[in-house]
Amino acid sequence: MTASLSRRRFLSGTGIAALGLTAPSLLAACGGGSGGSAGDGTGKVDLWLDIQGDANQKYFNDKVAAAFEQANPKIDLNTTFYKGDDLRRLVQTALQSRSGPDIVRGPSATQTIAWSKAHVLGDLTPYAKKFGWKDKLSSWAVDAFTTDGKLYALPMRVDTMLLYFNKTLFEKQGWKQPTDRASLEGLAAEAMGKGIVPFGSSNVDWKAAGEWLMTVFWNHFSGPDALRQALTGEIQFSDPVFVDAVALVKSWFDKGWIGGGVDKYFAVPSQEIGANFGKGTVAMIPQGNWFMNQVGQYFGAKAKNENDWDWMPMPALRSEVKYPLFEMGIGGSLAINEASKNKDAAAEYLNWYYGDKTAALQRMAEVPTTYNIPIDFGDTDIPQTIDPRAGRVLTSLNKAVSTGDYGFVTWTWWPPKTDVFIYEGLEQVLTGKLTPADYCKQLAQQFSTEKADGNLPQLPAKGPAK
Amino acid sequence: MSVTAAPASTGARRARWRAAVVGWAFLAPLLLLNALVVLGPSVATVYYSFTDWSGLGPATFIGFDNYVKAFGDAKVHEALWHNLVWFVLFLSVPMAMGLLGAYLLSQVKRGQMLFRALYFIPYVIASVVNAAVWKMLLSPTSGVLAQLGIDQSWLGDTRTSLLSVNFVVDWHWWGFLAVIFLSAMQGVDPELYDAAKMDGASAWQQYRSVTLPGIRPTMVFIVLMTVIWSLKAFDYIFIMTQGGPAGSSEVVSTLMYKQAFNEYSAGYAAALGLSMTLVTAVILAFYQWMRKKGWEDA
Amino acid sequence: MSAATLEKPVTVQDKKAPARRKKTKAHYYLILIVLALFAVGPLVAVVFNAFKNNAEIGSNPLAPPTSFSLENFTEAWTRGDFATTMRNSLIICLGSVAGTCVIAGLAAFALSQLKVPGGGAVVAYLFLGSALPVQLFLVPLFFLWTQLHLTDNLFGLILIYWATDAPFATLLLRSFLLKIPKDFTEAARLDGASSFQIAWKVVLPLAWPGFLTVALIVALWSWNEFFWAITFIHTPELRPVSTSFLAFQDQYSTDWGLTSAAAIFMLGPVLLLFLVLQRKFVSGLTSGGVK
Repeated sequence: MTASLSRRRFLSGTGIAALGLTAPSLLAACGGGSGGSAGDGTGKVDLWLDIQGDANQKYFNDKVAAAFEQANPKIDLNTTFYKGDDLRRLVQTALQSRSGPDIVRGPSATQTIAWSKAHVLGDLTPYAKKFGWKDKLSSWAVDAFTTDGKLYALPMRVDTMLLYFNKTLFEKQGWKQPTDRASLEGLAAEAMGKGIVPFGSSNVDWKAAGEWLMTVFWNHFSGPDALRQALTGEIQFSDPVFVDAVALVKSWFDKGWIGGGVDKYFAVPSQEIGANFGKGTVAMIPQGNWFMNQVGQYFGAKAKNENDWDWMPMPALRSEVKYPLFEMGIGGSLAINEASKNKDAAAEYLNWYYGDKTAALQRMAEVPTTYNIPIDFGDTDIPQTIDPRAGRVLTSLNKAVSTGDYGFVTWTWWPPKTDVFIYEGLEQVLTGKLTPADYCKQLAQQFSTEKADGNLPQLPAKGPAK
Repeated sequence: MSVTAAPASTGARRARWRAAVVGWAFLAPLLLLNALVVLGPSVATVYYSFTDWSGLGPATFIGFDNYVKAFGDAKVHEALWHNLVWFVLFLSVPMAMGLLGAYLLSQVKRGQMLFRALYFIPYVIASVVNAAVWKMLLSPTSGVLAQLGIDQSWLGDTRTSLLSVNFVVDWHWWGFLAVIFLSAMQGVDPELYDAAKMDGASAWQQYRSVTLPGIRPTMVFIVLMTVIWSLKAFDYIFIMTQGGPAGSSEVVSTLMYKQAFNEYSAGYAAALGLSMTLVTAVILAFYQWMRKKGWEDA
Repeated sequence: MSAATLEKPVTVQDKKAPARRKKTKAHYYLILIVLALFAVGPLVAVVFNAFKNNAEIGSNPLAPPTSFSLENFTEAWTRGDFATTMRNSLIICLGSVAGTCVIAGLAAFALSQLKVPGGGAVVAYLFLGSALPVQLFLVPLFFLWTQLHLTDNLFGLILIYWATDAPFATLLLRSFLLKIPKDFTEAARLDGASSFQIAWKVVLPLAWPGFLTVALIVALWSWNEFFWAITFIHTPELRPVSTSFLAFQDQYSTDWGLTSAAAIFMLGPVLLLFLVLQRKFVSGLTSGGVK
């Protein structure tokens, strides 16, 4: 399908209505997907990214784009930045029209499956073979983006959940880092008594924040073994072990422990929670490792306080669950547009980005979390210049992978519609419209439907992963 | 033009024919452009609404399944109810305030321009900004009312979320109506007022017998657009609550957006959108019928 | 309308009682001032926040700034690349206003002053067309625009604004034109004027306030519009001012300090435009437009 052909068809004057109607039939005709390469490995490569903030964009332009162009002078990497929500809608719209950027920044892993199934993403398998990507990237992450032996995207960022805490507040109050449910609940109750909100959380700025909470509770209460069984279909999500986790979230909300209560969770912006966290009126924040990029602005001289922050692993909420345990997941993906006219050059970029371990680790050391790509490295490979708190995330995850003490984030291992239901349905639970049991029952139904359709990423084998 | 080719037509018929051609020529740019941008692509959407299209890739024809589903979908029912509540509030509150503001403005000379500009400002500001400001003002921990000791999570409580967003929309909208109504009032023939004064009409009588009839076409127009905009209500809701919490401020357009872009049910979303358009069509048909009965007589 | 009941006791025409008249005007002004405070009071927060940093906004979002710092303004200007986006928005704005006024003006004239067979159906269609949610035809339109090479193109965006704004503009203008007595146009027609001459020489001067209102609204819409702009314009050099907010939001939070400063930048030109148009508006009326 060439542009000139379809254009002629448009201009041939079959009437205005036909103009619109041509769209779906064309889309259907294009459904096959050639999977071949395109271009001669030079020229302009368009990339749309959701990196936000001036400093972060500048870092990407200088340290990534410019460095790549220096190494590959014949390729012009043309980066455009968007806000997360806009980017997703735009890429989706553009992909439907067989246009858009050459390199596609996919949303969470689970939704990239939907894109791949619609044949809008190019097959990366030949490139993976040519460049030897399987040896460079962590297998567990690559396998999650492989269906029927075909690789359709590369994992963009390793995600996990941490429990951030106001270190100064903990020292002042003489609080010890809790490691189990009893010590955590004891601390929460004590904080609450002193007028301090134990856990800061809000879904005002990011509707899907509810799934961060469910990720934490299902992993540290229900446990990764139960999750693995449910994800492979051995047990149902309506199992009491999951229902109880939801009930526990609800009870903490009802006590006002999370975000100060349900009403406030739905209404207080994250910036205000961050400010209160810095001031010490919020003690802890269960959040993803990506939050490390933002948490600093609420502490120290700029925020007019003398406090400092740190993070700890989320305590085990049931004695059967391991501690420490880290969720593993992938935030986003990078793929090549099936409609790209310059696939080879796009693949050159991907290879450069993922292939150079030293450069990748340097980026991880300079910017916390944004550039945490899933590559294999030893703890000693990490540059000494890294912020120790960010460094500890890397070493902890390495250890979790090698010992098998890892869990699963919902936005990577659950299928797309189920993933949406996790946070949409949670709102119903919190407002009392759904019971935890009914929520889990509906979740189980949605999951089975999508599992039957084959919309599931491949789970890493039990035990130590690679 | 083919006018000259009409052999045996009378002068009157030719004139009518000519008037029609000229009239449609005046309408042509609008209609052609609209067909290209709005109508054509929408027709494609009619096709999608009969498919299980995910929003990406090929689509399978499934007949009326999407429409049947929409009729029975509890989420749709709830959203429709919210649209209705929205419509009633969005029609009454800003309209009343706009008429009041416009009338008062038309009665004063000094400061008229200043007040008009002040009233208009909220409408001038982009929705993203207004929504953000009100999110802060309505915050249950640091907002205006919270600082006055009222403990209410306006946007986070399922009972008040829809009303709160509607309040913000009314706030940004009434000043716009005031300006529109004012310019309509200024277009009313002053002689009519003079005549009314000669007859000894009071200000209230003048308002009722001269001002309101004088701006009636504008008012009817605004009412009709309000119907349409109420059914389309999207941006403020989407920015402030995204239809939440727990669907308590969900309207049909936010539901549709989620179906199309989050849940990969673009076919269903198309069916929802077209159903809403159909509802609007019914209301407009009703309006036409009323008009025929001499309601607008403009 | 319930608002109208407030006017009941007022007797403006009573010229023999100047003291009483003054009192009633004071009454008017009181309500006008209350309404004005209601309209702009909340926006004081924007002005305050433009001078505060994030931690200060987070800890006390509504308080006045503790220090007078212009940092947000300078940072917002460069980060949002307002120099570029304002220029683009100006082009889009002028293009949209000019085109929409011409397209809608012609159509509104036809629908109000000429006897067009099927005119009623056109009016109904315009209403119905405005009722179509944009989400409904976004994807097919994007497809079409890609094929016509109109994406990433200011003119392509202006075309969309013409098409989406013109129905409203036409209907609004029509409601203004309906008030022009048919005698005027009939008289001109008997004098041998063509439809174009009538439109240009008789109706346009009378429809002044209507056109200004339409111009103002379309200018505002195209200046603030975000959804179409972000979807159809991808090159940073072509982006309009509404996308400058992008620079201050990341995936999970928004920088309100910079957003507030940016809001003030965005508000400035349109407010100025409104004030300028408003003067014309009034002088256009008093110089005997409708008589």
